[in-house]
Amino acid sequence: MVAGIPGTGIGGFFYLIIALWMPVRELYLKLRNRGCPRRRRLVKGHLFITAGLIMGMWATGELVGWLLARTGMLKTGPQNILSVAPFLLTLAILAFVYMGMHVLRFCVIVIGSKD
Amino acid sequence: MQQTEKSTEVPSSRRSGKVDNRLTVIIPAYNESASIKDTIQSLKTQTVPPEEIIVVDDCSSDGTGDVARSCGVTVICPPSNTGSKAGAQNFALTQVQTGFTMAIDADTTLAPDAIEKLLPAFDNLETAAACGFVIPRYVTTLWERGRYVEYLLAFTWYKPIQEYYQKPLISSGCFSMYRSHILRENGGWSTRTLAEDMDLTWSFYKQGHGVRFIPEAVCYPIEPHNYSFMRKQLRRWSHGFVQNVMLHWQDILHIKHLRAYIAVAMWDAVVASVAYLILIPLIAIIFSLPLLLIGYIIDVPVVLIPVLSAARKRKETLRALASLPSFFVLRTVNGFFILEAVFTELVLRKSFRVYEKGH
Repeated sequence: MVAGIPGTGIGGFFYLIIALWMPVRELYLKLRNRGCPRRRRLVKGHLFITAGLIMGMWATGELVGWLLARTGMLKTGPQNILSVAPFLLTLAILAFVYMGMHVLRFCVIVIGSKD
Repeated sequence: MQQTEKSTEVPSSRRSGKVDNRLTVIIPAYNESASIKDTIQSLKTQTVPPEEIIVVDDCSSDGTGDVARSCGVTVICPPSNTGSKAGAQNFALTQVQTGFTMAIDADTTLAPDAIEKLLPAFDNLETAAACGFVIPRYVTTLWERGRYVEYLLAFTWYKPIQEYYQKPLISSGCFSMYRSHILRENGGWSTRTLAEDMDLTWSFYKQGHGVRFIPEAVCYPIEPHNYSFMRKQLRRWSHGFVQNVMLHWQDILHIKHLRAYIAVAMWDAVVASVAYLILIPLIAIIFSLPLLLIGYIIDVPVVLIPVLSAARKRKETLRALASLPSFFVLRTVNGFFILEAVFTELVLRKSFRVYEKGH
C-alpha cells in the first residue's frame, strides 16, 4: 500500500507473506555472518505485528461468521468465515498477479531481443 | 537499517576530507507565507544544520519571499511561475554547490534531529536518496485524521518491509535527501509526471542506485484540511502514480521486489476501488443484503494493529483510535480518484498535467 492509493486486499496479503519471510532471510544472512542488529530489530518488531495481524484476521472471521449466523445467512451456525476457501482464493489471485507480471517481463525480454 | 550486505559502506566518522558532506536545502514555495517561517526555523535548529537554505519563491503573491528573507535564508525567484514543484526545485538545483541536496515542502517541519538521522543513510556510496517518517502536523479534521492513520499504517508496516528488501517504493517529496551529483546526472526532478518524487525514485533504481527509508528521521507536513485541498492532492497523486507506471513499466519489470510492490499496488488500487464504489453497494442493494456493507470495514483489525503499534510508541493511542473511522472514509473517496486516473490516463490516453497545489 502507498499513502494515497487505496487497498489492503492482496497487497496486504502479499506484505504479510514477505514479512513472514523476513526472519527466514535474516537467519540465513546471520549464518553467513552478514547479520545486522538494526535489521534484526526491525524483523523482530514486524514479527509481533505479523502475529497480531494473523490473530486479527482470525478474530474477524469469527466475528463475521457469528454475525452471518445470527442473521440466518449461514445455515450451518456460527463458524469462522475466513477459513480455507477465502485464503486459497486470495492466494490464487496473488499468484495470478505475480505470474502475470513475470509473463509480461518475459514478453518484454523476448520482444526486446528481437528488436 | 545498515545495509551490511553491500561492500561500499563508509562510516561517517571515517569519511575522507574529499567527500563533501555539506548540505543545501531547497524549499519550493508558492504562496506559503503562513507556514514557511516554521519550516525555516525547524531547519535552523537542527542538531546538524544545513550549509545553505534556498527558498524558491515561485512568483508568490502573498509575500512568501519577504517572510523567507526575514528569516535570513537565500531567496531566489524564477522569471515566471515554473508551474510545478519540480520546476521550482530544478531552478534552485543549478545553485547547489554541496555534496548533498535536501528537498522539503514549505509547509513541512522537521524533528530537531531529522537531518542527523538521515545523513548516515549515505554512508553507503550506492545510496542516491533517503527519506524519513511522515506524520501530519495537525490532526483535527476528518481528512487530516484519515491521512494520519494512512501514514501510521504505511510508514509502520509497509515501508519498513520495503526498506528491509532495499526497495522503498518512493522517497517522499515532502522530505528527502539526495546525493547532489546523482541528482544532477538524473537531470534533477522531472516534470513529465505529476509525481516527481516517484519518478525520481524509480529512475534511481533503474540506474542501479539505492534509496533508503530511515524511520527515525521524522517530518511533519500540513495535510489537506478540507475536501477542496484533499481532492487536488488525491487527483495529483493518483494521476502521478498511473503516469509513472505507464512511463516506467518496462524498466520496472527488471527490478526485483519493486516490480512486485507496484504490481500488487496497481491491482489492489483498481480492484479495491471497484469493490468499494461499485460492487459492495450494488450487491447490497440488489440482493437486499445490508450486512454486506461490512465489507467496507472488514479489514479493521489488519489496519488497527500496525496503527496502534505505531501510535503507542508515539503516545497517541487515543488519537489513533479516534481517527480510525476517518481512514475508511478517505480510502473510499480515494478509490474514486484512482479509478478516474486509470480511466483517463490508461483508457482515454489523456494525460492530466495541471499541477494543482493541495498542500
